[in-house]
Amino acid sequence: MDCTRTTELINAYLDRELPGDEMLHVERHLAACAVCAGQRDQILQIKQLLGSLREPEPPCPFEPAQLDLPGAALAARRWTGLLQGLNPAHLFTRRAIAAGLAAILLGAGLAYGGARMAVEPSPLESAMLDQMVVPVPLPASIELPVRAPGYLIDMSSDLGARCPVCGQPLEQPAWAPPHRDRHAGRTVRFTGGPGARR
Amino acid sequence: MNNTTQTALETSPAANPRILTGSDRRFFEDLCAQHYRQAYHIAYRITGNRARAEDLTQEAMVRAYQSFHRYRRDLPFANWLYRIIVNLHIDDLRRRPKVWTESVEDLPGLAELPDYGSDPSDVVISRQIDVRLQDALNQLPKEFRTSVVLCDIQGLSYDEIAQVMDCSIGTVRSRIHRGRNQLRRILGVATEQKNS
Repeated sequence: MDCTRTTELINAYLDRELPGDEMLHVERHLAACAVCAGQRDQILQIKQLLGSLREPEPPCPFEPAQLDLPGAALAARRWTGLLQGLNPAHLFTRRAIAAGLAAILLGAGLAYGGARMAVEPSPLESAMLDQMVVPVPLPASIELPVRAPGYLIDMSSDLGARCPVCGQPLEQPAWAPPHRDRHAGRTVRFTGGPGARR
Repeated sequence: MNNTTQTALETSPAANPRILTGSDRRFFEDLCAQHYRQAYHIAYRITGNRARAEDLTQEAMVRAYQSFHRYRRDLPFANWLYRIIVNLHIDDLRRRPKVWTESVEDLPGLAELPDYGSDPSDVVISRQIDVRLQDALNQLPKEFRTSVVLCDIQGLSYDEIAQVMDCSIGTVRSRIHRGRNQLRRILGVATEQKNS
């Protein structure tokens, strides 16, 4: 297998979505080709980071009463962004605040908008902007819920296809999800990732 | 038939199979409560905007409620809900493309990002990673972004993603491949700009 073919398959390989023979071909090529192995490490890093993103807290919990919202109220909510519930007083307050803010912003924007564009960023702003373009640091180890995709990532590591929790061999990719469910609720610390090896 | 009568009939469980009652209603509410946070997470990652994610999640719940009589209970509810979210999002983008924002920087501060724990240095680093990754995700075409989010964040298989996005497994494979390559380039470009 050459580099072009490996590059085409490398994502499916990391996702354990290739048939067994193609998995082996890719694995052999990666063991012999530093360029493709580097590419694998970069994709693996992105997968790990995406998998480690935590769930944001919803602004408000699920309320069954939302299910009974009439279509018009739902549409109004989507289009105006003003309706947080069915409380008219709340809606009125939010609209009043929005109107006030709009007036203030309009006046301030007309007076100072052009000048503001020419102002140099403050040292704090510069530092924050610098932080935005710093390479994403790769943790040497990472702790993920067993349900997370990282469980499957570890399955494709140099350690071979073994469960990272109990060590049981899982020779077929299809075995991983049902086996993973046995460890639901537990977390696994993955160490020795690409960042740790550098 | 006047409007009042028509509305009364539409909201009557006997006249409208889309109105759930009793144990069906409680079952549906339990499912929604169980999957609400995950659904919001998906919506947040594919929209990149907290307010739009909230709207999208709530509308998806209502759509799921209205279509629950068509839900096959032998299939995962979560995947069915994701499919509704993805379809609503795509419809929304088609309706009002100019309103779509492609950056998380319109968020009013880091306070809206997920809570990453109590260690201040961990919090800062984690939030920076979150912002950078979300910003990179937002730059992907919607099909690529959705495929990558469902695969890498939600942990769905290619087969499940194909069902959610109503396309073939080959298309999913291609979208994930191209999406991740674009992510590599976007994150790499940022590094080069910093170094230059």
